[in-house]
Formats: sequence, C-alpha cells, structure tokens
Amino acid sequence: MLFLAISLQGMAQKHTISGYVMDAQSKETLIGATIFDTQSNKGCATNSYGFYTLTLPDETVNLQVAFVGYEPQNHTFILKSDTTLSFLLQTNNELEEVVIEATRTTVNAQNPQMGIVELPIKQIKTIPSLFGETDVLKAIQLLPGVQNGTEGSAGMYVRGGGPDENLILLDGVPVYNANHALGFFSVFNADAIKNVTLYKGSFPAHFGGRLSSVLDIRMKEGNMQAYHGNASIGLISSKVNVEGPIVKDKLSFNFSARRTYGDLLIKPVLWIINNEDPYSKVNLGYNFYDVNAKLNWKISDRDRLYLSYYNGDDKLFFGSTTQRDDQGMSLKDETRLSWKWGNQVAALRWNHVLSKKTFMDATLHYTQYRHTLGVNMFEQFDDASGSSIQQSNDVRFKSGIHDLTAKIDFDFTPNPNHEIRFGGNYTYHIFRPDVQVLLYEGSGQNLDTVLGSPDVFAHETALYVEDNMTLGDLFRVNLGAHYSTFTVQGKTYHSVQPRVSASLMLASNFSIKAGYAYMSQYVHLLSNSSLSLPTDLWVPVTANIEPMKAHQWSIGGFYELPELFDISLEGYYKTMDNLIEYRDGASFLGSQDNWESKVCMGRGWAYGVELLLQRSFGKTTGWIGYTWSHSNRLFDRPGQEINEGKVFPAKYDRRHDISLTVQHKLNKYFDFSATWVFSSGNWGSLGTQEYPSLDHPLFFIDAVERNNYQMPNYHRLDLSMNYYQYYDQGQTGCLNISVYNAYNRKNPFLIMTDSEWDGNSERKRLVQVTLFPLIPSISYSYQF
Amino acid sequence: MKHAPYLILLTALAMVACTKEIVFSGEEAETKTVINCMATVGQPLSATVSKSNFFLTQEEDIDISAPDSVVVTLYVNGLPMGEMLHSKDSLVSRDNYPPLLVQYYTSDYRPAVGDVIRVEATAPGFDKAVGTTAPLPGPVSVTVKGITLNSHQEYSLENVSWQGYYDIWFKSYATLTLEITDPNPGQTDFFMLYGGFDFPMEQVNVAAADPRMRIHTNDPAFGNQTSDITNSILVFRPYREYLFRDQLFDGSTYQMQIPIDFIIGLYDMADTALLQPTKVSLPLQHLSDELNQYLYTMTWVEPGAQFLTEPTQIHNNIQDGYGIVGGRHIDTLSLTLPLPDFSIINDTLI
Repeated sequence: MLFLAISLQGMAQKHTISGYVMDAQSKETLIGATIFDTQSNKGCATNSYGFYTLTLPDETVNLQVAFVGYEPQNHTFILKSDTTLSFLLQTNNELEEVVIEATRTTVNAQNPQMGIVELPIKQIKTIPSLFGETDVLKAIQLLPGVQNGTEGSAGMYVRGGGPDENLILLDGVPVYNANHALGFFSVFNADAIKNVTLYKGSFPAHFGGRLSSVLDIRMKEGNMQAYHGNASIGLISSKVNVEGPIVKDKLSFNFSARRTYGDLLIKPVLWIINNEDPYSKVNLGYNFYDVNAKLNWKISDRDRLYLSYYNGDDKLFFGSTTQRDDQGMSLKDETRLSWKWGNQVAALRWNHVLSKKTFMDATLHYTQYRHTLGVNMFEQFDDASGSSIQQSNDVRFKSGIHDLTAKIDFDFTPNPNHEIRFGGNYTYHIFRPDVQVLLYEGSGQNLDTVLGSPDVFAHETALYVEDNMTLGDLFRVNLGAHYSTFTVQGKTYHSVQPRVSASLMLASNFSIKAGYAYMSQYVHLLSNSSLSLPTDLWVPVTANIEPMKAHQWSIGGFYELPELFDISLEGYYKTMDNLIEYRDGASFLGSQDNWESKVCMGRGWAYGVELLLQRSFGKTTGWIGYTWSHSNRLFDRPGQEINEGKVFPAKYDRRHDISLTVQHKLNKYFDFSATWVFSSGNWGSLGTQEYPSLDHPLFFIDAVERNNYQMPNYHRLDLSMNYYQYYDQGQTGCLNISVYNAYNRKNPFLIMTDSEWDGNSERKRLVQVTLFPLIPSISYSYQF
Repeated sequence: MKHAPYLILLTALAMVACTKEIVFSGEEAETKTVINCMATVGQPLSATVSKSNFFLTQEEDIDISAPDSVVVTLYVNGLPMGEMLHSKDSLVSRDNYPPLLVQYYTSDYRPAVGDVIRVEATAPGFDKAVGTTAPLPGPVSVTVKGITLNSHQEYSLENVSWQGYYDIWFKSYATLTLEITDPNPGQTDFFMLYGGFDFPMEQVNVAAADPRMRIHTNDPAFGNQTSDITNSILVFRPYREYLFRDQLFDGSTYQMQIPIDFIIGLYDMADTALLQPTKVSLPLQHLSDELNQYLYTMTWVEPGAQFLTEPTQIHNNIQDGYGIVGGRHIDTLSLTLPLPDFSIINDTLI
C-alpha cells in the first residue's frame, strides 16, 4: 500500500494552463508578464507574443499574474483539466495612489540568465533626452555595461565590444543602422514600441550572429478595442501615432510616423542669404523621417498573423548655383550634393498554438540598409555666338546590405521543470560594400564606369535548442547550443556555440548566477570614426576575413529588497578574436582598393564589474548603474599590425561609468525626471612629438601611438518635467519641458591642435570641441 | 568634392559647437634624439641627427641648437668604426612650426652585404639613441627579359613652333617583363621598384627633353595595390604600390609583367632616323626589414586623405629616440624603350 501511495503521488495528475496576458483596455499582449502559482511555487513568464504555458498538479492553484505598471491579479481555482486562461490586466496609472506592486515576483531571481535588462517603454518615455526626443537607444546607454560613443551618438558599446557587435531586432528583424542624424537619434519611434529587452551576456541559444549584445525591440500591435492616438510637436520634429481596431477583437493596426524639419527651419535664413547675392543661390538642408506600421490579425484562439513594416531615411543635401552674364556670354556653374541613408524592414509572422504545451512562431522577413552619396557638378558656357559648351561630372558612392530570412521557432513546455525552445533559420545576404559610379560628359568625351568592390552574396543558416530547467527548488539551469553556418565566396564557416547559465537560490529573494556563452559573428562594420556615420560599411566575412568569435564568462548575484530595490552585481570576462579595424591611414574613400586590403585582423579582451540598483514600481522609479571595466585590443598578426603589434586600449575603454536616472510622479498632473551620467574620457590617438623624416627634412612625422591619449571626463545632467491636462472626452495633453546638459558642462566631442595669435606670435594649443551646450526644449503631445 | 559632405557637416557642427583650450593631461613625452640613416651597400654611409619637438612647444621656447655636441659613432657587425664626421648643418623652417636643426654626418665606410650597421648618437641632456639595421640585403638576380610594344599608340600635336613646325608627342604602351629570383628561399624579402628614373640627356638633338614613363604596378607580386609610378613627381615620396615582397615566388624565379607607357616628343620632324631609343635606369631596391616597415608605414600618410582616418604610426627603430636606421641594396636595371611607330602620323607631317 505504501508503494502504491508513493507511486500514485509520483503519478499525480497534471494539467496545463495556457493563454495570453494582455492589457485590459487595448488587448495588447504583454511580454514578460509573470504567472506564479503560490501553491506549488512554480511560475513562468509570457513569451515575446504574450503567450504562457504552465503545467501544474491537479489541485488548488492560486495564480498571481503581474506585470510592471499594471495591477496584479490573483486567481484561485481547482485545476482538473487542460485550461486556456487569458488575463486582462488593468494599468495602475489612473489610480491617485500608486499601488506598490504586491507580488514582487521571484522569477527574476530564479531566472538563470544574467545580463538581461527589461526597460518598460513607459519608463523610457520619462527619461529626459536631447531636444526632447524620447530615444530607446539613449535610454539603453544609461544601463551599466552599455556605453555610448561620443556626445550624442546612438552607437552602443557593450562590455568592451564594438558598435557592430550588437544585434538590434525590431520585431525579430535585424536593423543594421539604427541611427538618424549621424547617431544623434535612433530610428526607433518610442510611440510605436511596446517592449525593450537587452541581453548583455548569457545569451539564450535562440540568439546568434553578434558577439556583445542583443537588443530585442517589439512593436505595439494595435488596440483591439478602440481608436487611440498620439500627436506631438517639438522643436526639431513632430510625430503621430494612431492605433485601433479594423475589426474589433480580431484585426488591429498601429501606425506611427515622425519627421524632422531642420530643412524647413533653415529656409528663411537661406532666403536672406540668396537675396543678398544676385549671382549665386545656395540650398542646404537636412531632414529625416520614419514610418512604423503593424497589422495584427487574431485569426483564432490558436492563430495570429502579424505584418510589421518600417521605413526611414535621412537626407542631407546641398546645392549651389552661380550664373554670370556679360556681353552676351554666360557662365553657369552648379553643384549638387545629396547624401541619403536609411533602413527598410518588413516581417510577416504567424503564431500558432500547436498544443497547450507547444507554441510555434514562423516568420518571413526582409531588411535593407542603403546609403548613397552623390555629387554632381555641371558647367555651361554660352558664348556670344550662341554656341554652348557643357561639362557634367557625376559621382555616386553606394553601399548597403539586403537580407531575406525565413525562420521557425518552437516553445515546448512539457512540464514546469522544462521550458524547451528549438528552431532554425536561413538568411540570404546581399552585401554591397562600396561602389563608385562615375559619369562624365563633356568636350566630346564621355566616361561611364563603375569602380569598387562587387556585390557579395552569402547564405547563413542556424539551428538551436535550449532548455530552461528547474532542478529542485533552488537550482535552475539554462542549457543550450546554437549551430550556424555561413557560406560566402565558395567557403563555408561552421560554428557550434554552447550556451549555459545557472542560478542558485540562496533565499527566496536572493540568488547567485553564473554563465558562459560562445558567440560567432559573420558580419563586420568598418567604421572610421567615433560617429556612427552612414559611410560605415557592413561587410561579410570572406575567404580571407574570418568570422569574429567571443567567449564570455559571467558571474553575479541578484537580490530583491522587498518593496524597495532590485540589486544586481555582475562580473564578466570576455575575449574576442578576428576583430577587424581599418589600417592606419585607411578610410572608406578610395574604392579602387578592395576593402579587404584596408583592414587588419586582431583580438581583444574586456572585463568588468557592473552594479545596478533598479526600482521599477511606485511613485519614484529609476536606477543607479555603475560599471568598472577594461577593454583592450591587440593587432599583432604579421603584416596586420596596428600600434606596431603592441596592446592598446579600445577607444571606449572607460574605467568608470555611472548613470543615475530618477522619475518621480508627484500627482496626476506633474511628473519630474532627472538623469546624471559620468564616464571616464574616451581614448584618441595624439602625436605628442614630431620629428623630421628620412625622406626629406621638411616632411615631419608625428610620433603617435594608437589611443594613447585620454580625453577629459564626461558628465552631464538632464532634467525634464511633464505637465498633464485631462480633457472631457478622455483625451490627455502633455507639455514637456526639458533641459539637456542643465549645468552646461563643456564635454569633449573631439580634441585637436590649433594655434591662435597672441599679439606677437602664433601660440599652439590643444583644444576640445564641445558639441552640445545647455539645450532647452519644449514639446506638446496630445493623446486621444 | 568627395569630402564635401564632411565639410558641410563640419560647418554645421562648427555653428553649434564651441571650442575651449584644455590642458594637456597626458604624460609629456620627452624630447629625444632623432637619427635617420639609409645604409646602401657599396655607397658611403651618411646619417642625419636632430631632435623631436613636443607638439605644444611654442616657437620661442625651442632651443634651435639642440642637440649640441653630438657624437655619432658607427658600429659595423658590433665593431666600432669610429666617430662619423659632422659635415654640415641645415636649419629647417616651416610655416607655423618652430625651426629645427638637422646635422649631417658622414663616414667613408661603404657597407657590404650582410653588414649589421649600428649608429649611436650621444649628446648632453639626451639619452643615447641607438639604431641598428638587420643584416644588409644582398643583390637580387633580376633581368629585363624584354619590353614588348603594344600595338596601340597615341600621339598629340602640341604647339606650333615659330618656324611653323609642329611639336609632336608620342605615347607608347608596352609590357616590361622582369625576371626575378628569390634571393633567400624560405625567408621573406622586401623590395621596392623605383627610386627615381634616370634619362640620359644626350638625345636632345631630335627628342624632346623631359621624357616621361609610367610604371603600372598591377602585377600580382605588388599585392592588391595598383598604381602608377611616374618620374614627374618633383619630391620623391614612397608609395606602398612600389613595395612588394617575394611571398608569391618564394624559392623560385618569377616573371613580373609590368605595363608601362612612355612619352617622347619631337622638336621639328627633321629626321626620325636620327632618334635613338630612350634609355632608362630603373632602380630595384632590396630592403632590410626595418626599412621596409618604415617605407610601408610612410605610404599610409597621404596628405588630404587623413580626414576620418586613424593617425598613421610610422615605424621607428631607434632605441630611446626616433627615426629610422635601415639598409638596402640597389640593383639598377637598364631599360631601352623602343621607338614609336612614326608612320602613324605621316599624313600630318609638314
């Protein structure tokens, strides 16, 4: 009888609860919402599509469902069969007294994966920003372990890695150049975004292709219940967002658009300039726009179809025309410059619930980055007899990349102790590293030629499997492997990338974690400067340029102070190999040289400690982040030396990095936020001694080492205030006043030498250029 | 114009940016002795000595005379050969830069193949600077297998002379074949083609002065770089396209196919039968490793193209100093450029 009892105990019936967690008003699915059974102490989180599955014993279950910014729910019932149960959570914004989240979930402490940060989009929108433009990437740069490039740059440098080592996904589709305005703004319109998750280490096996981080950005799906929207106007840009049902509870849409108007604001100035000179006219301007659109079709309880689209462009243009007429002769001179770059992303996704325990996601997506720099010069001379001579020069520099991908992913949860994910994908790449098109017409001679590197075609595949395992009450492990191949120029590279991470619960709110990940990357970004310039080239590995590789070990702890803070402390050590950098003196210009001949291959290593104190609930939210880190490079392969084969610091080897961001909701009318950042100075190459050369004494050499000089430290305070107005029909207006760099710190953008006349002689000096002084901004948004 | 967008960007940034002087916070590298010496096998040895300047040193703070009382000692294969003779000084002045004193030193010693040349410079107040070459390279077995004239030729009629005759410039295309044998199998050797052309001047009776030749270094031995070497450069500057190594033909003999084009001109078409084929002396330099590294890094310094590039680190093999002490061996190739086919312009002759 005892054995029977034991066997019956072990064979206790279990059933699965599955469904979606959604916003009660909009029916927008919530990513990462937690569902926790207090009876069995088992729980899970919703996946990227808001779906969850939880297998529990047949007994009374008490489910607590929670998500940041929403009022938690409790559901108690007796589980007798497989159950579909979806939850609609109410936001807690409307409450006069903000409810402190009662269910401080232990899922974060239990999650074996490290280096993961989720930033609620509502929190991102309250962070003060440049020209009042909410920027997802700028917010991410405030996290420990993530650094920006230079002042205003949207480039990300995560744990010592370069800006190309970050996989930036928009609804699962890679975005290659996530910057507008040369990096001062990102391409992501916060009004179109639902969720932002950053992985800095312990990468799950379903991610691959980059060494340093994965930034997973999910777009809103659109309100299934009612039409809503938001329009805002600011100093340099305006934007609009509209969402709503096409068929209620079945088909919804979300549409956002944004445009700057720098080109319009400068027109009065140009009018004045052009009116003063009758012989020449000048036209100059810059603008960017982006459009996000998404359709969400709930075909049935088991099937959903999504169509996402993004298109954005930047354009900088310049034109001048000079015309002089004299004694019947005429000379006309025109110059046109057009510099355009942009992304286009499209994804068609099908979610299908195969069974209570199995969720499938199949996607077909396309991403494109394009860049064109064009210069046209035209001259025409008409003599008095009426004959005309014309000459035209047209040069266009083009680069870009196209990807077409098919992928399929499965989430299989056989029991609460195993969450298994597996899947695969195939990508067809077309790289256009650099092409120059030269057209010349005139004087009876014509030239029409194309120079530069030819298009490169590549095939990339990946397979993965991972299991998130619960081993007893205290120990969880995520174990997985990612296998990828890359075929280009007749050569195929393979990579098996193990991923493992584990957590050990020392208390219900305290865990220690450790992880290891091996990553491979088959694309490189060639960049000449600290700015994220559109001329930065995406190039593939080739028969000569091998894939980049990285090993990352991390260890740390996660502690939840109940109703106060989450604290995480992580240490990491990362090695990187087959990194590429431009040789000394090389740049993207000069397409007669194949790009492969302009680069060197080397390695790097980085290590550091990151501390994060985060509070994401209550009236006062925010975080304090501190990073202590080192990042070095070594390029010593024969014939590919940089810095004569000696170790040098990475450009962004900043020893200390501090970020403090606080948001406080005073009442329903006012909220305030402040951000203070500090980082050690960037490194640059400065020749401090000069001497005559062997060739000729007049030709001087600068004795310079790579990244031998550290610029002054950087720190800045931003402040922001929102004032809310509530209208009778439920609309809300919000006036935002913000100040960027509130104490007008002169932060270095670059340093250089120059000289000034002191009355007697030219005095040489070292100067720094500061880009952004104190910048106030004001914007108004209207939400309906 | 290709830099135009960056100029516009700079202009825009300048409109919003501000500058301020900052204090140099790095470790101020001390002024050091500079030694430059190119040891050529079979030629008298010479070297220059000067000093470096800290880049922020103001002109009035420069001690032009330094380094003073310099003693330059020559060592060959570790054996002292005595002090080098101080032959002259030259004061180098550049706009907006402080002047610099360059001291010239000579020796009667003519380096031989395999010599290891070491030059030491000592001066009060300066660390002893030492530069050492690798064993000097030897001759290279290189022969001119031929110059094959291409069928395509061009000509142009230039100014009408006061006598009513035309000046005619002929441009011919040819392929120069050089056969070169790896002098040291199993070891990487470094070479540079060019170092200045030499056109004998005795042909001025019918030929135009200033004949020109271009060498197109697009043979695979030059790597992926292709460029034109022309003798119209007024100040010689090395270009990486002139440099090559023997990795392609290690341990064997290799035929380099080098396209060339050359121009000769005629004053008055008096009698083309008097015209002699143009002779050219083309140096092939066999470089020591450090000299190759120096020249290679120097070729990355292209004025005007430094915008948005990393500063170039020039190779420097002087211990406690700056500069380069390197060695080379020169083999001079004699080329005879074939005469063009004058019949192509017969109809236009006066």
